[in-house]
Amino acid sequence: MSIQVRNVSKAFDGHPVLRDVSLDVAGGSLVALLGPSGCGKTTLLRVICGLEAPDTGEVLHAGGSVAAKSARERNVGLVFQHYALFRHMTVFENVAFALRVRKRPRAEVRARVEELLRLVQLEGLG
Amino acid sequence: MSAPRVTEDARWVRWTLTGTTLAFLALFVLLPTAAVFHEALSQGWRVFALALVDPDALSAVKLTLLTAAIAVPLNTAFGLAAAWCVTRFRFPGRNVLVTLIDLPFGVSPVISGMMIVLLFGTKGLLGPWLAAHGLRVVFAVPGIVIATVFVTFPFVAREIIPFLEAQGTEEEEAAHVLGASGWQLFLRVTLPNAKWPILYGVILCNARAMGEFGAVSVVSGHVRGVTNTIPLHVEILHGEYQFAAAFAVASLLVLLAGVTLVVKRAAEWKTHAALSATRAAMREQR
Amino acid sequence: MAMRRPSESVLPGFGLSMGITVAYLGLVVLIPLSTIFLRSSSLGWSGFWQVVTSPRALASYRLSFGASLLAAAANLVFGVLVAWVLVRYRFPLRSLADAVVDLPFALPTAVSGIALTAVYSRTGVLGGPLERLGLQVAFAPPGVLVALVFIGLPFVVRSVQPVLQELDREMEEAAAVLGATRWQTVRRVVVPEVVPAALTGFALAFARALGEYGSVVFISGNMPLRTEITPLLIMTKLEQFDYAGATALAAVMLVVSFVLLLALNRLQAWTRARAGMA
Repeated sequence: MSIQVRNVSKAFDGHPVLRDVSLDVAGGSLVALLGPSGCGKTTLLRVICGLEAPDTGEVLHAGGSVAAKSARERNVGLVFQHYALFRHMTVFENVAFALRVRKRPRAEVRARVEELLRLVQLEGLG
Repeated sequence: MSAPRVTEDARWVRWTLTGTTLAFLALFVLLPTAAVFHEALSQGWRVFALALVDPDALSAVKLTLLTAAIAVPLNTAFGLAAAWCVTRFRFPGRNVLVTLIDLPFGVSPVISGMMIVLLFGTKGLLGPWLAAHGLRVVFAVPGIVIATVFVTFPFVAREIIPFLEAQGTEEEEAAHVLGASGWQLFLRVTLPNAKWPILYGVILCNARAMGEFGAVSVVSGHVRGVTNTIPLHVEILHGEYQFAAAFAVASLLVLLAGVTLVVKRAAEWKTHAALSATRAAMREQR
Repeated sequence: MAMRRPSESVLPGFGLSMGITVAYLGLVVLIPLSTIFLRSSSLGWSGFWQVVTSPRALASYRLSFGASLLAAAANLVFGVLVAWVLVRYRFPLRSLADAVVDLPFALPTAVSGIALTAVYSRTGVLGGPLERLGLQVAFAPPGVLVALVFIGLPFVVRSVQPVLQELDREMEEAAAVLGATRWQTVRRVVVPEVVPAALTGFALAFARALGEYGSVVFISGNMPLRTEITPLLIMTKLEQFDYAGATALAAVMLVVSFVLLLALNRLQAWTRARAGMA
C-alpha cells in the first residue's frame, strides 16, 4: 500500500509541529524518518495512522483519501514509543488482540499467533 | 471534516453518561443537603436565629469546639510520629502497625463508644479506680473527648504516610550529612515539605471530630447543656419534633462541611503539585 | 532511595517515634478492643451463642449485611460511572460535581440522617411521590438502603478516579489502531485496569456501611425485626445495661470487620502489584 502525505500542517496549542509536509512512500518500500527530538516524526506518524487530524493537507492510502476514516478503519499498524503493551494480558493475548477484536475463529487465531511468536523467537511464551 | 479521535466516546454516550451522573449526584447528594437549609428556614428566620442562640445549643457548640481542640492536636502529633516511624524505617511488624492504624475505620462508631464504656464505666475495668478518685469519664466530658480521639486518630496519619513515602528520604539525609540533629531536620525539612498533606489530614480529622455521632452518643449520657455535642443536640431536638430548630443547628455543621471541602481541595491540589515536582526532579536526575 | 533497617538507618528518631506510636496504639486501640472480647467471654459459650443467634440479632444481621451489600453494589456501578464522567469528559459544573462527591464523607452522620429523613419521609419531596407509587422509603428497609448508598458514594469514586487518571491513553489508541471498536476497547483494555480499584472501593463502602449508625437510625425507624440494624441493637442493649449481650454482638461485628480488613489489604496489595507491572 502506498502512502502520500500532501501539504500537511499540524499545530498544538498554537505551536506548529508540522509545517506543510509532503511525502511519497511507494508500496512495499522502507522509509526512515530521521530528526532531532521534537521535530515532528511521531506527530507525522500519528497523522498518517489517524490518531491526529491534520489542520491542513491530506493523507492518501493507496491513492485514496483517508480523511473520513478513523484510525480503527485505516488498517495501519503502529508501534508505539512506550510499547503500549496491555499489562493485564499475557504475551499470547497481546499478540492475539487484533485478531480477537475482528472475531476471527479460535483455531485461526492460535495458528497465527504461534507463527508470529516463532518469527520473533518467543514461541515459549505462547 | 475528519473522523473523531478514536479515544473519544460517541456524543450520545457522553451526553447520556454525563446526564445520568449529574442527575444522580443532584438527587442523592445535593437534594438532602439543600433540604437541611430548607427545613431550617421553614419557620422563618426568627426561629432559626433563636435555635442558634439557645443556651443548650451554645453549650453544645462549646463542647464540640473543646473536643476538637483536644483531639485534633493529639492525633496530629501521633500521626507525625507514626508517619516518621513507618516511612523512614523498615522493621518486622511494620505492616501490622500500619494495619492497626487503620483499625478505627473498620470499627462501627457504636462499638468504639462501647469500648470506652467498658473501660471507664462504673462497671468497667477502671470503674472502681475512677470512682475511688472521684473522677467521672463516662457520661461526662472526658469520655466524649476520649471517644472522639479514638475515632479520629487515623485521619492525619493516613494522609501523611503515603506522602512521606513518596517523597523519599534524600532531603533529610542531606540535612543529616550537613550536620542537622534529628529534631532540626524534622522541623526544618520534613514538616515544611509535608505541610499540605498535614493540613489535609487535620481538616478531615477536625470535620470528623466535630461531627462524630455514634461513638459520642454511647458515651455521653445526653445531659442537656452539659454532655451534648452539636450532633447530639441535633438528635435531641429532632426527637422532640422541634424540626426547624434541629435543622437550624444542623446547618452549622453543613457550613463546617463546606469549609472542610474547600480547604481539602486546596490542600489536595497543593499536595499533588508538590509530589509532581518531586517526581519531575527525580526523573531529571536519572 | 533504599530503606534500611533501623540499625543501619542514618536518620535518627526511630526509638522515639516507634515508642510514641506503639504507646498510643496500645492505649487507644488495643486495650479498648481487648475489653470487648474479655467482657463477652463472661457469658460463656452457650450464653454467647444464645445472644448472637436470637431472632432479633439474626434479623439485624440480615438487614445490616444485606443492605450494606446492596448499597455497596449500587455504589460500585454508579461510582465507576461518576468517576469515568469526571475524569474523561469536560462539561460545565464539572468542578462542582467533583466537590459534591465528597459531601457524604464530610457531612456529620447525624446531619445526613435527618436530611435524608426529611427528603424521603411521607411529607418529603421524594418520599411523598414514591409513597403514592406504593414504595415507602423512610421507616422501612428501603430507607436503610438509601442512607447506606449515600454514605458509601465517595469510596468507589475516589478509589477509581486516580486509576482512570493515570491510565495511559496510548493503550486505548493501540487497541483502536489494532481494530477494536470503542466498546471493545473499553471492555477489554480499560475495565480490567479499573477492576482492582473498583473492588477496593466496594470493600471500603461495604465496611463503612456495616458499621454505620448516625445516618441510618433516623430514617430507619428502628423497628425490631424489621428495620433494626446491628449497631442499633447493640446501642439498645447498652441502654438496658445488658453489657454482656452488647459485647457479644460487638464481638461478632469485630470479627467480620477484621475479615473484611484482611480482604481489603489483599486487594490493595494486588492493585499495587498490577500498577507496578509497567
